[in-house]
Amino acid sequence: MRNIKYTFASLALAATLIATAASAQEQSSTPQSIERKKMESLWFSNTNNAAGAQLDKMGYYSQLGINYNHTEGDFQRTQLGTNNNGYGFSTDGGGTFDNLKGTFLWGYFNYSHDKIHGARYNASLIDPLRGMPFYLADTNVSNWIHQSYELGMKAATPVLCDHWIIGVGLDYQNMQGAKQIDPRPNVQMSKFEIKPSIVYTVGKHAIGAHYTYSSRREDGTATNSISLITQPVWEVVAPGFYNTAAIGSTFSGLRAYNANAMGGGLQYSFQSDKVKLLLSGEYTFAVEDVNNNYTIPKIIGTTKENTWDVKANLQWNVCDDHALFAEVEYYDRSIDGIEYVQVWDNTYEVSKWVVISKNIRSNFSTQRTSAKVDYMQKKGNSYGWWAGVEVEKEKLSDIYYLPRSTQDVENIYLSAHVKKNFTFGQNAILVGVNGGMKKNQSGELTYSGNYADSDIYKNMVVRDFRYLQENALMWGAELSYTRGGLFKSNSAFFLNLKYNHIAPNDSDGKAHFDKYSALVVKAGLTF
Amino acid sequence: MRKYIYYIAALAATLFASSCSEMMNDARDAEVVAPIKVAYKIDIKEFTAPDGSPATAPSEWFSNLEVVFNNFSEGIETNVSVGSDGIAMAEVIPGIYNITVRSTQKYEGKSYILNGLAQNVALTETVTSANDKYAIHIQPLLGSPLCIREMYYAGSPGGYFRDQFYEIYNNGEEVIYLDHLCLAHLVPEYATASLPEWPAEDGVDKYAYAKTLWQIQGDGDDYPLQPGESVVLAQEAADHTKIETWAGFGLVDTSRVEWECWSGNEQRINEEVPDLPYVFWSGWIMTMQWLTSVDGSAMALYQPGQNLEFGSDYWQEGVTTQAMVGQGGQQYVRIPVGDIYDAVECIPTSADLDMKRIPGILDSGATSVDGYYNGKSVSRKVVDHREDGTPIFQDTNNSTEDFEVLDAPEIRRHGVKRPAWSPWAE
Repeated sequence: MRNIKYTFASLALAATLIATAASAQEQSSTPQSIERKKMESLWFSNTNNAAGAQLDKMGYYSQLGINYNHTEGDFQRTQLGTNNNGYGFSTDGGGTFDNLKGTFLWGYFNYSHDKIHGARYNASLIDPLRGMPFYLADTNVSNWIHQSYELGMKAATPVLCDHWIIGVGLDYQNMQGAKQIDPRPNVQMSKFEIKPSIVYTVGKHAIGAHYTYSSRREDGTATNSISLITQPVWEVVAPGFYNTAAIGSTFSGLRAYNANAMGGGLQYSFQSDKVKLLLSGEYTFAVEDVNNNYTIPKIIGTTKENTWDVKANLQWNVCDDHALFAEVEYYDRSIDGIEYVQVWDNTYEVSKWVVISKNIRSNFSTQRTSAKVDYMQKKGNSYGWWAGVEVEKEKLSDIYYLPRSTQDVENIYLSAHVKKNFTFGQNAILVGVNGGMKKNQSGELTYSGNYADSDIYKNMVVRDFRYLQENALMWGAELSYTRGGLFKSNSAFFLNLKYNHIAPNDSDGKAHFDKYSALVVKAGLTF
Repeated sequence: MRKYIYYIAALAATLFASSCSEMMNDARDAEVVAPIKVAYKIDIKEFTAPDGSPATAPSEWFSNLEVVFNNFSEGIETNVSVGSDGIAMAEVIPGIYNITVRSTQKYEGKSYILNGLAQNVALTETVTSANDKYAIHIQPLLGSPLCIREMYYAGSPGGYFRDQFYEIYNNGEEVIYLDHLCLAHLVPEYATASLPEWPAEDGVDKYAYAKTLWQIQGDGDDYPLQPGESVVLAQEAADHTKIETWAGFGLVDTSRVEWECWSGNEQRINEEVPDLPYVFWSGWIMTMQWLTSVDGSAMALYQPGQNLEFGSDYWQEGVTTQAMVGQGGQQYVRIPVGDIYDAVECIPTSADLDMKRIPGILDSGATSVDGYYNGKSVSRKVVDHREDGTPIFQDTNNSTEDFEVLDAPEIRRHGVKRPAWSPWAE
C-alpha cells in the first residue's frame, strides 16, 4: 500500500514536470537530442551541485519510457545470478522555467522489477556488491525478486544579486528484495539524500560548493517457510571469514543496516562560446552499522567509508558543427570493516550486549583512474555521429588484517564506440557499435583463514577473484528508431535496442567461464 | 505556535545531528587490529584425596596441562602449555574466547578429572602478569562411572519428537545403585549467549539449575546397575516406529524401556512401563508430554541421597531451589556441581559453543546434531572394551570430544547390557 502511494505521488510529480516542460518546449525533442543536451550540461551531468545546472542553460526536455531487460551468462560475480529478467518504467525532465522567474526545476522517477535467477551466497542484501562485508550467506541457489522506486529532483534559483545561485537536490529510493528459497528474507531498503548547493559566478567564471547528507536503512530477516528443517548459513564478515550458524534455531536471521553519510564538493567552471571547463571534487564519509536484533541489539559490524571523486570535464566547440568532449577522473573508495568484541551483561537492570572493544579488521579499496574523449558532429539539436574512446585503470585491494589475507587485482579497460544517426524527415535510425577489452595487469589472492576448503571460499571467493582478474573482450550494438513530429510536433516516439556481450578471451578463462550478455529493449516518448 | 514548531524542529535537528555524529565519531575511533598477549593463571584448588584427607595438586600435574584458547566465532584455536608458575601465555587476536583446561590426572591410584572453563571471556588488551580476572579455578573431581551414554532429542523428519530418550550407563568397574538418582533438565532450556543472572551468594559455577527433575525412587539397593549395563528413560514408552507422521514414521521403539517420563497425559499411558515421577517442575507443568528442546538441552545426573517428593518442604529457596534475579521469583532446582555425576550439554549447531549454559567443570564442551528433526542422535565414543565385551565409553567431561553424532538413534548400541531387574530382561 505504501509503495502504491509512493508510485502515485511520484507519477504525479513526474507528470507535472513533463507537462510543464513539454508545454514550454519549442524545439523537437528526441532521445539523441536529450543525450547531447546532457553531454553539454557539464554541471548537471558531472556534479551533485544542483545550483550549477543553471549555468548549463540546458533548455527543456522530458522523456518517459518502459523497458525490458534480460541478462544471461555466468561471466559475472557469483552473487549476481546467471539469468535475469526485468522491466521498468522511467521518466525524467525539466529545465529553466520562465514562468517561474527563471527557476530551474528537474525531476525523475524510475520503477523497476527484476527477477534474479540462480543467485548464490546471499541471504541479507538486495545488492550484495555494494560494499557491505557483513551479511548472511546460505548454501542454496536461489532466485530473488527486486523491486525499486526512485524519485528525485534538482532545483535552483535564478542568479540572485548578479552572482549567487542557490540550489538543492533531493533523492529518495525505496527497494524491496525477496529471496525465493529458504532461508528467505524480505529485505526493505529506503534511502533519502539531500544536497543543498550554492554557486558564485563572475563573468565566465563560477565556483560552487555543495553539501550532501544521506540516510539509508536496509533490513530483512531470513526465515524458513519449512520450519522443520534448519538452514545452515555463514555469518560473513569478509570474504573467506565467517561464523557458521543455522536459520531456524535460536540464531537471529535479522540483519538491520543503518547508514548515515555526509560529504561535500567544490567546483570551478569556465565557460566561453568555444570552451567549457569544469573542475570538481567531492568527498563523502559514510558509516553503516549492522545489528541483528531490534530490541536486544548486538552489533555485527560497522563499515567506515571514505570516498574521493575528482574530475575534470572539457567541452571544446571545435567549430559550429563539431565538438570535442574530454573527461579525466580519479575515484578512490576505501571501506574499513570494523568488528566488535561484546559481552552479554546479564545484570537484571542492564541485560544487554556491551561493547568491550572494536577494531578495524578489514579494508576494501577501489581506485579508478579514467580518461575519455568523445567527438561529436552536431546536427540541429541532435547529432549526426559521435565517436569516442575510453581508458580506465582499476585497482582493487582487499585485506583482512588478522589472520592476514589479501586480494589485489589491477586491470586496464580500453573501449571505443561510434554512433551514427540517420535521419529521414521525421524518422531517424540510430546505429551504434562499441567494443573493448579488459586486460589484467596483476592479481594475487593470499588466504590465511581456516576455511580454505569451505564451499563459500572455493565457489565464491576464489571464483570471484578469478573473474575479477580475467582478461576479456567486450562488444555491443545499439539500434534505435525514432519517429518525430508527434502530438505538438515537438514530441517523438522511440524504440531502442541495446545488446552487450562480454566473454573471457584466453583458454584459462574459457575453462571457468562462458560469457555474459545483456539485452535492453526500451520504448517511450520524448517531449 | 510557529515558535514552538521552530523549537521542535531545532531540537529534532540537534538530536538527529548528535546521534549521526556520535555514530561517525565511534567509527572514526576504531584502530587497525593487532595481536595481543594474555597471561592466564591456572589455579588448581585443594581437593579431597581418596582417603578423605585434603590434598593439593602435585607440581607434575601442571607440566601435563595444556590451555586451549578458542575463539569460536572466528574458528581460531590456540594451544598453550602451562608454565611451572601455573601461567599460560598466549598470543591471540582480540575477541571472545572460551579458555579451557582438560586433563585426567592420577592421585594415589585414582583418576581425577581436571576440567576448567572460562566462558565467553573478552580478551582485548595485552596482559603480561596474572591476575584474578584472568584465571581459571579448577576443582579436581574423582571420575564418576555413571554417565549419559546416548541422547536422542532432535526428533525425526515430519516433526515427530515423542521418541526422545536418555540412556544412563555404568561406565565403571563396580556396581552402582540407581536409587534416588535424578535426571535433571537444566536451565536455560534453550542454548543462549544471554545467560540469566542468579543471586550473587550462589557464586560463580558453584551450582547448576534445573527446570525439571525426574527421580528413580527406591530404598537404596533396589536398582543395582552392573558395569556395562544401562537403563533407558523415555519421553513416552511406545513403539514409535509404527506411528506414522506426514514424513514417515517415528524412529525408536521405546516400548521396552525401564521408565517413561509420563507427565500426566491420560491419552498416553503405557501400563507396561513404570512411570518415573517428576519431583520438581518449575512453572507450568506441561501435562501433554515432557518435551525437551529439539535444538538440544543440557541434562545432568545427580544423587540427592533420598527420595524426593513434588511440592514437599524439601524444596527451600536458597537451599535446594533458587530464583533468577528479577524474573518474578520462579523457582528452579539448585544443584551443587560437586553432587553431579555427569552432565551433557547439547547446542543447536556445533558453531554455537558460545551459547554454553552450564559450568565448564561439568562439561567443558557441548555436542550437537547440527539441526533438528533430522533423526540424528548423540552417543558416547567407545574407547575400550571390558573382558565381557561390554564397551567402555569416553568420559572426560567434554562433550565436544566425548560424543559422536550418529545418523540414527539406537538403544543399547555397542553391546551394552540390560540390568537383570529390568521388566524386559530376558
